[in-house]
Amino acid sequence: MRQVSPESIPIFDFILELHAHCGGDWDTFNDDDVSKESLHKFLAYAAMFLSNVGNYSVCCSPKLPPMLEMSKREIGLRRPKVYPFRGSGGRPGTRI
Amino acid sequence: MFAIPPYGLGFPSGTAQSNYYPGGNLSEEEISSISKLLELEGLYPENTRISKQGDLNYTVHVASVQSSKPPSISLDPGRTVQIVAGDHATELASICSELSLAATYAANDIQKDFLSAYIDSFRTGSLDKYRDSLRLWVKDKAPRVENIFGFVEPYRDPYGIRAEFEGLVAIADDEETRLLGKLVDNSATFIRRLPWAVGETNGGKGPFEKSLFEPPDFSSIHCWFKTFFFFSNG
Repeated sequence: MRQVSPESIPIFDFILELHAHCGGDWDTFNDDDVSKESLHKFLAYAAMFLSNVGNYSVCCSPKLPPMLEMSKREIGLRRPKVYPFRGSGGRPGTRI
Repeated sequence: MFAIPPYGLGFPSGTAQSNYYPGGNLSEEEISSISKLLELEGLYPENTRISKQGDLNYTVHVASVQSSKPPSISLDPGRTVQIVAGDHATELASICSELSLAATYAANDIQKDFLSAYIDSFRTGSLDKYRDSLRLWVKDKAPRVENIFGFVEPYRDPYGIRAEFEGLVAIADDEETRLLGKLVDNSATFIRRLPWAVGETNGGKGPFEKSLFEPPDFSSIHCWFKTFFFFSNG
């Protein structure tokens, strides 16, 4: 993933950290702040990311941004405390 | 994650990016001349990345466990290229220790030998050693457990010669391998159905085929979303 984009490793860590945080039961993230629809869109994004091993398509290289209305604030709210939102695995200040 | 541009992978610019060329907005021309220099120096490109420092200095990062800092090479008057080993060192070190554990379960000596050649190559960054490993790998006919390890997938390098690491272990699918075997057994029938196989030339196989079809060794495995057919001519 480091050979693809500077964001790939932090996004991978972020997805796995979320998975570990909810113990695989992603519905626990669904509450007043995060709608079911947003959650499903995020899971669709995570699946697309993992199957392409990075945030760019395996076959023809376009970037794969999340098809998500979900605000960064919403993602941030669900972010496990142990995970620094910026920088892990990439260069300091890497934007994910 | 959300930022657009970049729209896709490509030579670093305002609209594209590539982490094979991290830092320094290298142009296609620069990548091309450095790649040619590496070729002259007898270095293969697959396990490398290139970065640029300032306007005149470049670093070629070679993936390996061992780190090194050999003297720099001159690209042309004024521009220098430094070749530094040790890219992805942490990941490659754990890959090597797992591979050496795997070697204790090898089904035969060829497997032991190519596993140790993989390890040598990942430790030192030598792709000559990696080519040696592949020469051994093709000799491992119809293994029960098949594998691919190494810098082998070049699709996401905009220049098309640097390759992503892939590690894959799979068990051959007996049923599908048997079906492929059937296809090979009936190859003469299918070859005779090709559009150019008209008349009685070459036993009905047409002018472009050898009179005896020599099938490669193969096994059918499934992984992720792909089905691989391995064909190797040992």
